[in-house]
This record gives sequence, C-alpha cells and structure tokens, in this order.
Amino acid sequence: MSGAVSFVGVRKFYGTVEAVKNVDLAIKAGEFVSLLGPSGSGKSTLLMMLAGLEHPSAGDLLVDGRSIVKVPANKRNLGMVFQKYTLFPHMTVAQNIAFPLTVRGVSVQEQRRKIADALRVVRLQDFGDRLPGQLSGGQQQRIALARALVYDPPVLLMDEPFAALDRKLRLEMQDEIRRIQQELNLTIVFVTHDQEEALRISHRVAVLAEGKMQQIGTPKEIYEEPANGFVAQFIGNVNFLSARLDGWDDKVLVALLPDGRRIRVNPQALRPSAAPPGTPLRIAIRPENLAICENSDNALGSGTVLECVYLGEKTTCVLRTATGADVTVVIGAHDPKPQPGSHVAFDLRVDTVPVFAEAA
Amino acid sequence: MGTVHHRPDIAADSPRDLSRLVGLLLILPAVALIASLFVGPVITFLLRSFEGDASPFEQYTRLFGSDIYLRVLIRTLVISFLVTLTCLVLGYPVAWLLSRLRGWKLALLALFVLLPLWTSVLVRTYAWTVLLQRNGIVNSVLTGLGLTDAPLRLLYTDGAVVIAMAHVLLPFLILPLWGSLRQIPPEFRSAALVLGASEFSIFRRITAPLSAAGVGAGCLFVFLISLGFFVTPALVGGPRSMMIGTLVSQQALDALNWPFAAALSAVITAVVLMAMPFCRRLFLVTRAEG
Amino acid sequence: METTPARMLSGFEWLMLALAIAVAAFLILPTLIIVPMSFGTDGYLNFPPRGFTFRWYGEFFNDGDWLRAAWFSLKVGVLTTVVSVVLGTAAALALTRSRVPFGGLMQLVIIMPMILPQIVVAIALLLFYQQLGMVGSIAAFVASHACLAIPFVLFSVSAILKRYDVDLDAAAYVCGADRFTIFRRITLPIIWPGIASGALFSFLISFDEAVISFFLSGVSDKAIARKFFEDVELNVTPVLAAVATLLTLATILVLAATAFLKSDRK
Repeated sequence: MSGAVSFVGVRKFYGTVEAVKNVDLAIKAGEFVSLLGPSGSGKSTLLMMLAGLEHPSAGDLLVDGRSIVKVPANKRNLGMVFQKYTLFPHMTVAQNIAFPLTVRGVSVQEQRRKIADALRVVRLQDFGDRLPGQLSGGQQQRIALARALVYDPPVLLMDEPFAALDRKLRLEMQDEIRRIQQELNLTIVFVTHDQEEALRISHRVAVLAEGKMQQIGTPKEIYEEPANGFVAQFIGNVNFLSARLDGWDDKVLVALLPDGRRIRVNPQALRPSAAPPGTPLRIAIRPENLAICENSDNALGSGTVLECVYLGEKTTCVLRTATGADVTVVIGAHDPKPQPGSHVAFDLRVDTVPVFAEAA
Repeated sequence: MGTVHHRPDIAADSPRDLSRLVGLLLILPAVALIASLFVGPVITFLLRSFEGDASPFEQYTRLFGSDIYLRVLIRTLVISFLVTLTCLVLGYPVAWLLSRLRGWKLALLALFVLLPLWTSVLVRTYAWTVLLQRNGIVNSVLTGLGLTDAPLRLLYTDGAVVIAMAHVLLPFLILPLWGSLRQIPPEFRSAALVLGASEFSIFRRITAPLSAAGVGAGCLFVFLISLGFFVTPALVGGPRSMMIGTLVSQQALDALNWPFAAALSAVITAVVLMAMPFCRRLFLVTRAEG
Repeated sequence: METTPARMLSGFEWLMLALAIAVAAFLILPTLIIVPMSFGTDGYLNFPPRGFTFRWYGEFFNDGDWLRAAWFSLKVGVLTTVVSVVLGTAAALALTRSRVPFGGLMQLVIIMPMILPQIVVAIALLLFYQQLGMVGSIAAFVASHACLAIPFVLFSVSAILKRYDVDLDAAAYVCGADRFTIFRRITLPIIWPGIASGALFSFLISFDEAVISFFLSGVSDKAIARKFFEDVELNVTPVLAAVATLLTLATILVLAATAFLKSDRK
C-alpha cells in the first residue's frame, strides 16, 4: 500500500518571517491526519508545500520514502481539494473530472469509465452534464473531490474544504469524507481551523500554532492530555487555576492550590528534574470535569455565581473566585441550577480526572 | 535533513503568479508601441515649440502677447466651461435616475447613454448640422410654434458649438457620476425617510454631498476633453467661434508654422497634465466611498 | 422606480424623472432622426422626409470613393483589433498576475493615449509620419489606432482577471496540467468574454475615430471618417445620412454583441 507522507525538518521563510518552524510529521499510508490551528499557524503553508504550490526553505518532504521537493506540482500526482471548490466554470462536471485524465493522456473510453466511478463515489451519478454554476456549494465540493480522486492519487490534500458550507451540510460532508476515506483506504491530509471537525473526522490531529508543531496525537489524546496551555485552550474550553508544585509521587505531580487543597495532576511536559517543589504552576481543568458540590470544606474552590447559560444538552455556570478568576463549570441537565449571586463550591467530578500543569 | 533549498520566494513554478521576467516580456510590447509611436512623437512635436530665431520662448511670447490668440484661448476656456456646466445640469438627473432604476428600465436608460458614447463623433456632429440648418427641424419647430417669423441662423454659432459638444460629451459626465451615486448605500435614503426627511432634503443633504467626487471627476473629464476638441467646433462652429483645436490645425496645415502649433498644443497639454493628479485623487475618493 | 410600486413619487422625484427622460431623449434623438431622413426621396435633407427610397444607400455602394474609404477603414480596423487585443491582453496579464518592475509607470504610459488631447496627438503624428513619408499608410493608421485601443482592451480584460480566482490555475496545476495547458484550457476560456468585448470596442474605436484619421489620411488613401468629414463640409446629400445610419447600425450591433458576451459570462 502506498501513500505514506513525511515532513522532515520543514521550514519556510517569507522574507525574514519564519512561517513554518522545523516541522516533523510522519503520516502512515491510509491514515487520516488533520492539521489544526488558527490562521497564521502555518497549517496551510505545510499543505501548499506538500502540493508543490509553495517550496520549503529547508527540510524535506517524502512520499513513500522518496523526496518530492524537487518535483513540480503537476508531476507529484497528489489529489487536492481547495476551500473555494475551484471547479472550472466553463466546463461541465464531466469535463472538470476528465481534466486531470486528459492531461495524462488517458483514452476517452477509459475516461468515461473513471468519471462514472468517481461520480458514484461522491454519489452524484446524474450530474455529469451540469455546469458548476448550477450546483449547490455541497455538490460543487463533491465534484471537486471527484476530480481530485479520479486519477487515483496516493494522497489526498484538503484545504479547509468545508469551511464555506453551513453547519448541517458540513457535518454531512464530514461523514461523507470519512466514508470515502475508509472505502478507498486513502491517505488524507486535512487542513482545518475547526477543532470539532478535526476531532470528528481524523485518526490523528496535528495542532500547530505560530508555525510550530504543538502536539500530534489521536483526538482523545489531544483533548484529554493536551501538551500545553495553547492546545488545551484551542481544543474545547478550559479553566486555568494557579498553584504551586508540592512534590512528585512517582511520575504524577502533586499541586498545592492557594486554599490548601492538594491535587494529583498529569504533568505532561514537566519533569521532576526541571520542576522542583515551589515552582509556580498553571493547572488546566475542563469545565465538564468540575461539579458544583454541597460541602465546601474539602472542595477545590468556591465562588459567586455570575450566570448560568442553558445550552440544550448541558448548562454551564460561570463562577468568580475570591482571587477574581472566572471558572466555568458544567452542570447536568437534571442538576439544580444555582441562583446567580449565590456562593457555591466546586470540586473535581472524579478523582482521576485528567488535568495537566505547566510552569507558569 | 536540514538541506536548504535556495529558491526564490515567489515560487518560479507556482502558476498563481507570473514571474517578474515573464510579466515584463508581456507588458513591454504595449508600452514600447505607445512610447515610441504615440507619446514619443507628441513629445518631439511639443519640443518644437521652443524653436525660434530670437529666444526659445519666442512662440510663447507671441502667443501670450497677441490679442487674437489670447481671445481664442479665452473663448476655448469659456466654451469648455459652458459645455461642462450644460453637461452637469443635463447629466445629473440622468445619473440620479440610473442609480435608482433596476432591471430592464436600467438597461434601457443605460443604452440611451452608451449608444451615443459609442456612436461616431462625426455622425453625431453631422446630426446637429442637419438639425440646426436653415430649413432644419429646430427652425421648423420654432417657426411652427410662432416663436420666430423667419428661420434663425443657428449653425456656425457659439450656441451651436456648446449644445453639440455637450451632446457629444454628456456620457463622459453621466458615467462617473452614476458610478459615485451607485456607491451611496440605499439604506441612507431609507434611514433619512424614516427620520422624516423629504426627497428634496435627502437629495440636498445626503445625495448631493456624497456624489461630489463623481461630479468633480465627470466635470473635469468633460472640461479637459473640451479643451482639445476638434471635430465638433470645426463642423458646427463658424470662423468667429474658433477654438484652440482649430487654431492648432490651421497653424500646422495652412500656415505651416509648426513651432507655433506646438506652443498652442503645449498649453492645452500642460493644462490636461496638471489636472491629472487631481483626477486620480478624485478616483481614489470615489473608490474609498465604496 | 425600484421602490414599492404603490408609493407615490414626491414632487422632487417627478421633476428629476421628467428631466432625466427629456435628457435621455436629447441624447438619443439627434442620431435617430437621421435614420428616416436617409430614406427620403428629396435630394436634400428635410423633416419629415417624403417618400421612401433606398436610392442613397445604392449611391453609397456604387460610389468608388466611399467604397475605397470604407475598405481602407475596414482593413485598418481589423489590423488594429488584432494588434491591440494581443498587446492589451498581454499587458493585462502582466499587470494583474505579476509584480512587474515599474508597473505604475508602465500603466501610466499605456493610458496616455486616453489622456493626451486628440488634436495635439493628431498634429504630432501627422508631423511624425510626414517625416517618414508614411502619411496615408495603413501601417501609420494601425499603429496610431492600436495605441488608442490598447487601454480599452487592458481595462476590459483586467476587469475579468481581477475577479479571476488564481486557485483555479493552482487546481489545474495540481491536477497535472503544465503552464501552457493551464493558459489554453482554463485561463483563456474564462477571460475570453473580456478579450472579445475588448476586440469589438477596438474595432469600433478605429473605425469611428475622426481626428487622427482626418490628419493622417492621404489624398487617395483615406479613412471613411475623413471622407465623411469632407462631405459634411462640401457636399450635403442624403448619402451622408445613409452612411451615418450604417455607422450607427454598426455601433448598435457591437453594443448588442458585448451585452450578449456579458450575459453569457454568468
């Protein structure tokens, strides 16, 4: 099976600005990897370099072990789907899909068979004679996908392909691309700024910020064991509490909260050698891992209820602690709703919640 | 690992941008043609205005020292001004209506503006010679209405020149003005109506000030074209309503006085070129409004 | 008006509407009034015309002078179109798709023909081609008219290129196409309406151009505009009305063709 992709020490300068800083990333054949990050994080630049539309200033790009850095984009034989569909407006759907086959000198008969196959994969069999302008956004993006797949590329590159679609259609297309990925056992490199999308569709997520790789991992790892504050904050909501390092219990860190409570924390990047007791810490805890509790004696903390917002499947409450920090807590749909202005305590929902700390 | 590929930042084989070299090769033929066979000859011609036996400014001294030539110059300015004013008065309602219409009505009115713009200046000027001749339609209407007893002499007068030139140049005022009126958001009008303003006060307090840039651009455009206009004054105007364009042609063709023709030309060209940065600023303003 | 049909127009709006319609009539009528007059049987122009005849059109098509001038202008127009479309489109590509060194200055040179006063240009070109012994030559006409038409081609093609999604080229490139194929199969078909309307206007600019044509025409090799000019001054027969009608008809056809290209673009 083919389609393994490696970024090896890839850097990209625009003038003196370093847009991509020494990125390493190995993607297995048949793997679905999302490059996730805010705008300016370098995720699109990485994809453009893989496509051949940008050139790395340093480092190497490998597809199935062979360097493609010196191969021009039109000889790389990779599939690509752009955010704005990029269907050729003067060609019919069938002519659009035929385009990569025509430039490869595929016979007309073979073209017809492959176009039919590609249209079946994206479930738009009867649309061959339409012009792109006559299709909806979702349909156009399916055709763009068909055009990118029709020449059996080993790797499919997708640059925020669903960003222009409304939410319902976006979810539908996410399911669709997952189905196609499994059906064809494709390698997909998928760029997105939408964390929910990245978690939903990919085998692994690579989080980027300011041109640097922040974390690579499965959606579960990224969410539950974020490598740093940026990742924790970018993916889902998070509360930050300040604390001091109390000591180490094997590989687990014990943190001392301002009001005397000690909690066990997943240290992530911190090592005992680098973080002696007394080191100031920032501890990240997800709102759904906190709960309002009756007993304030042994709680993690307490605060005044500012507001509670009903969001359907859950309700979130914002509390202001004595130090002036705001803490968000998720309460279940059936739990009693605290009154704004009342003073309540909050605690960890379960003892073993994955939280993490970094040096403040 | 860590090999540095020395590639230019504008990727040479990315198809989104053409390289500077290709760009240069694409634009140079047009620039070379215009520079060598259009702008070049004009510059060479204008430089001849400094020929003279006594001093390099002999032609200019003659031009500005003579009543006859000064009068032509002033008449050119006055007629150009009157043409501009006529165009503004006639053109504003059309541009205003264009900015308020949609669909086929807009297309029809736009056609009424664009068809004259693209019809030969000669044909339109010829139409005026027919309309204004002694037994022409205008005179028939005037006598028919009993306004005059005998047909008036309309052709070869300053009035004929102003009317015919205004007719020829009207589209040049309407189009930029329409452009700036179109950029006024229609919500302004709705908001003013809700606030209780009448249509006239909306026009006076909102539309007119916001279209000032378009008015400026259109008027300047018409005025500058008028200065160097040749066909219409030559055919509709008489010997006593001579404009500078006709004088240039006379000096070059009949008097064979190229240096003096060049000096006259330099005066028109200087006025036009001096107004150019102003034109550009007006265009920028118009764009900024959008 | 585009507002709710039930709404009454205010007095001010009525006034503006009436003025606008009157001016629209003023814009269009002088040219249109020539049309019926070109079919009148009288040997001079009067209104309303009497009778109906194609005689003046017949005279035009049997007059060697008119036909020679028309043929001359046709040749100049076609050649001007070819030159200005090629050079104008190339310049539009350069200005929108690459960072040309001195781009602003180059653009300024290209729009100079629109800015310089026509009479000055015409006299300057007359002097220039007199010295070269090329007055009345097709080459002199084509070079001069192409300069006038290039800015129009530039604007009409750039208008499309500015809205052109360069990712289309990137997509075609990733699909495996080389640069020439991308230009031929993607870029060119998409900017085609701009090129075609630029071409139509180029032809019209050349064919209708009066001032340079007046001065650059030779005694026997003259443009139709020069012949028209001479006849307005010397020879007022309804043949001129017939020629004016034909020229107006040509303009209407060109405008209709460009309108069609625009509607097709969607």
